[in-house]
Amino acid sequence: MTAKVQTFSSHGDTTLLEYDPATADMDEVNRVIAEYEAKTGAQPFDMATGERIKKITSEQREVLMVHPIAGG
Amino acid sequence: MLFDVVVAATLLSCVFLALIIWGIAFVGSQRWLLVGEIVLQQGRPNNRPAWDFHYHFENHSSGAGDNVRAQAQRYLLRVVALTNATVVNDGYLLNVGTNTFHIGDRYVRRLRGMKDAKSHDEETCFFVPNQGMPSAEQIATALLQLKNNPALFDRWAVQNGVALKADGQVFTNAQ
Repeated sequence: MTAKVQTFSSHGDTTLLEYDPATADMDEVNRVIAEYEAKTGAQPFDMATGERIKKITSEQREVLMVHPIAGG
Repeated sequence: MLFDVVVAATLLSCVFLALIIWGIAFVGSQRWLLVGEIVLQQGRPNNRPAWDFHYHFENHSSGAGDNVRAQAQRYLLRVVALTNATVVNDGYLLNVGTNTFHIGDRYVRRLRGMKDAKSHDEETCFFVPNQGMPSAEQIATALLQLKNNPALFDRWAVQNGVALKADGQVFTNAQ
């Protein structure tokens, strides 16, 4: 069973990370996600509940990085 | 003389038949080899470790615009179900607490909940600075963000052009 971190892009939905939650180093996953957030402003949402999450755990199987929105 | 002709004709027939049988067997074996290769190629593991990071980006679409749009539409429907939004003629209705939002392509209208809100704006445009994201995924982004943080509507309405993260923090590219 693998877990995925995806995001929307102009090319369709895109997999940023794919890992086995049973064996993956979740600190490393969160470090990579933090880097991606710093670069793009996207924040993680659990696609099982639709809720924003602060930290990804091995419980989450599908995470979507949601990009910032601007009004105007 | 007649006997020789019959024997020769029989021999020729046997040779001809043997050639036909060999031909069928050879072509068949080549075809099976080909099928075997294809199956092997399909079944070959991609040597990807259980844990790896695909930097920008492993694209699961074929790259064709229609596929991207269809994929975006499927994702949007998933998000609509996840946020308990309702599909209406020209967009999606989203209930969050005392608020009801009507979300369409690059605009959000607040239908209910203005009384308790920080601003009294009824409508705002929005865009995702991520260039070229299909509109279905822009709407999905807005649905997810408003469901989690309805106060973002007032920020979008008041702070034109300022990119806000889902948690309400301002995002600049310099970060």
